[in-house]
Amino acid sequence: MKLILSLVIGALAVHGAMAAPNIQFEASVDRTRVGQTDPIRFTLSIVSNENIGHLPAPEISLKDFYVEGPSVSTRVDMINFNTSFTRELVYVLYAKRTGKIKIGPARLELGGENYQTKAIEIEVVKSSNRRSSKGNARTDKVDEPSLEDALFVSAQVDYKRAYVGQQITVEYDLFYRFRLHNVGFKEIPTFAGFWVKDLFVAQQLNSHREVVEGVTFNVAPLRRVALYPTSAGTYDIGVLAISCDIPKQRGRRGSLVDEFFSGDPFFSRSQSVIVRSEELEVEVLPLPEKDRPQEFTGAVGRFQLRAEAQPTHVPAGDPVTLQVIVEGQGNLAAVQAPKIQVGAGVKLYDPTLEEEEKIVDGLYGGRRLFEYILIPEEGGMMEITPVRFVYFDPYESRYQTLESEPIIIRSEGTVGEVVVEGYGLSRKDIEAVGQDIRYIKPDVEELGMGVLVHRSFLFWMLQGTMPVVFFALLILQRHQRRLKGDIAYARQRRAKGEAAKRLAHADELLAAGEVVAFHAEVQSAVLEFLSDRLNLAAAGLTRETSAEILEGRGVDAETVESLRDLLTRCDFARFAPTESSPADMAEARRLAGELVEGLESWI
Amino acid sequence: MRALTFCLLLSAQILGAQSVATGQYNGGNAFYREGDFEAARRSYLEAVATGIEDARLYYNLGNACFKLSRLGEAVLWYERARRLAPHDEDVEANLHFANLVKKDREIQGEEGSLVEFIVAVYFWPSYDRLSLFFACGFFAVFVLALMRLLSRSKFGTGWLVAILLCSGLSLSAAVWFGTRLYARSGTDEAIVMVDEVFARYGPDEGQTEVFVVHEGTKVRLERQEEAWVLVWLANGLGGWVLAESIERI
Repeated sequence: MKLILSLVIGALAVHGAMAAPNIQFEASVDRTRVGQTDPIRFTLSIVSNENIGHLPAPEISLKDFYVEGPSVSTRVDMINFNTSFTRELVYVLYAKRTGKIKIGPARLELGGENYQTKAIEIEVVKSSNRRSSKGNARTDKVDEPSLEDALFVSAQVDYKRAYVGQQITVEYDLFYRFRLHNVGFKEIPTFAGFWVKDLFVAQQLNSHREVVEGVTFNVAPLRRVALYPTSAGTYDIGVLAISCDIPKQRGRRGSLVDEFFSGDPFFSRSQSVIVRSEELEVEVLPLPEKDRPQEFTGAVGRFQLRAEAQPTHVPAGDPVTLQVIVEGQGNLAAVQAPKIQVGAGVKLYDPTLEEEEKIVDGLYGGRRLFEYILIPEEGGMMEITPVRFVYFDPYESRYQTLESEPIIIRSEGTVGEVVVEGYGLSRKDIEAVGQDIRYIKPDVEELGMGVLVHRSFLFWMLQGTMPVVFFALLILQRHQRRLKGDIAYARQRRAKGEAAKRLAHADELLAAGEVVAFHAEVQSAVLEFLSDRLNLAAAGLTRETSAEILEGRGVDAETVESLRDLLTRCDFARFAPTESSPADMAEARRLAGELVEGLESWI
Repeated sequence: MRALTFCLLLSAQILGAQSVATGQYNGGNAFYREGDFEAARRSYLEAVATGIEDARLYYNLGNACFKLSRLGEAVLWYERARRLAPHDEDVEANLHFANLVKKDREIQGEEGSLVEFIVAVYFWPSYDRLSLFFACGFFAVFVLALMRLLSRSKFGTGWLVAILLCSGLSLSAAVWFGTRLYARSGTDEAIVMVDEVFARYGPDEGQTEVFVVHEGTKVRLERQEEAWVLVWLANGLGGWVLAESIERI
């Protein structure tokens, strides 16, 4: 194929009218023996003693090569006052076939002169073949390489036969020799029958160079997946497809200028293609039934076991933390908490779980930490029997049993009841499983009246009684004191009582017919009453003095006259008792009673 | 003599009612244990009809109503029980639970925590406790005054401080008690007894609806006009509802 570099050349240079410049036109390669997929750096250099300006495209036949470039560079050198202008066109070539291939000669027409380089012979040898994933899909079509040969997605599994639970790593890589644009996932594989763990998913193409069957490819990892078969059988590994834009294919090779700009989407036309990986098939074997230990819980891979307790010397009732760590490569989800055997008198609580995932050398794994709380309830030596963990090693196709060292814990003292708050309950909180109203109140002997205290009569009566009692006592006390200290008051307070006593005695005398004594008692009762009420000496009171005093106190005339009348009657009866009839005596008694009652309000 | 006769007759009547009510209460408990909540409720109601006021009776009646899905009635009886026994844990727990299952969420006023705390402290002591505080203080004042009255010896500062303290205690309790009674008299409360009731802007069916409340919600009563009652919610919303849709606590 002949490639012509169509550089844009301007109008004829002014130099044309001047003396012809001294021009050297040479071709060179960086090596003459290369592998088929190795690049060859082919340089055309034009050295002139004048600035050439616009340079026409050299003609050269490069049909046996894939061509990248050329890149153009200009250099000016000054040696001993001689200036030289160098322009270099650098091509990167990939041989289409092996054997001896000639490059050139290249021709250049400049200023009416023709220049030609020598042909260069290259020996192309077959490259080493590292990857054969494409298998027969790729053939050596040196003359007309197809799109599939230059762009494909490789899918590889590390194990085509594996056990249930064994990790199978699937690698999807993109091989390409074009400059790609707008690369994206078009089809994501589904992995039915597997538990899937993504190890790597490409966010952008990070390529490295790799030689496949002698051809150098850019290789970008697309996805790495760890698959764990869940059951035995034959399974298809899903297809991964990507879409991307590649330079549009032409019926013939374009010019060197076309190739030069082919990497730039702005200048080139492109087409979208979808590239799919091949389908793969894996065979999944069941885990052997033979020699399967009872403790096996499904862990497949390679693991290590470690168990340690802290502290190992505690007072009875204090917690001991037992950590069991299972770590390694494999499906961690299948690693279950090992059973712990403790003796009587030790409380064992359900373990907590901490998990840490790790990917080492493309193998998924990590560690699971099970933390148990033990509480020795009694003093003494306590042995935690060795913790056992069983897994299946798919690489050796047999079950492996790991066993920790026995752990001795020494506790001291005894506890009646182990306090669980703060230890066990904090690990697994007690949850209410239902809720309802509280139950009814029990039967009673007698329902209370339920009367509030402040509504009860008794309460207020008691409250009222207290001030009443207090004030009654206060008044009584004052009364007593006055009786003792105030004679006039005391006589006045007792006047009526004394009078009543005398009149009662008079009644007895009346009934006995004692005329003289009766009248003397009546007279005495009235006069004593007056003397007490008025705080006067009874001896000084006569009929007339009494009447005068009463009149002086404003007592009405009728009462005063009654007093005179009574006292007169008494005087007569005492000195002439025969003239007093019982009716007269009764009248005298009535008058005396009325006077005592009547005078009390006046004096 | 007549008064004594009246008192004796009254006492006999009360004792008779107590006896009947106790029988009905225990009978209601038996029905409740058998799971016959309807019969239990009837029995408890008959006990209530005797005029007996007892928090245990009201509480058990509330339980029976709750089991019969009579939520409004249950809340009403729990509230009545709480008034008689303000600090009964069972009553508080069941009232809280009933409030959880009713349609309206527990309405809280928008007061700050400090105000809420003060209000809680103010309403913490029961009437009986306040009565007791008052009675104790008053009795102490009485005893101290009697000592002063009857004793011939002189009393110093200690007596004065003691009587001032006791008087202060008694007076404070009396003021607290009095304001509580006054506050209570101004806050007549009721429970919504129907499944749903619309409160309106006025005492008429044609008035615009303000809000809707559901069975079991507590409202504060303000005044009544014929068949309509003006009620207020704790969040400040007020409206007129039909008196028959609510029941005073």
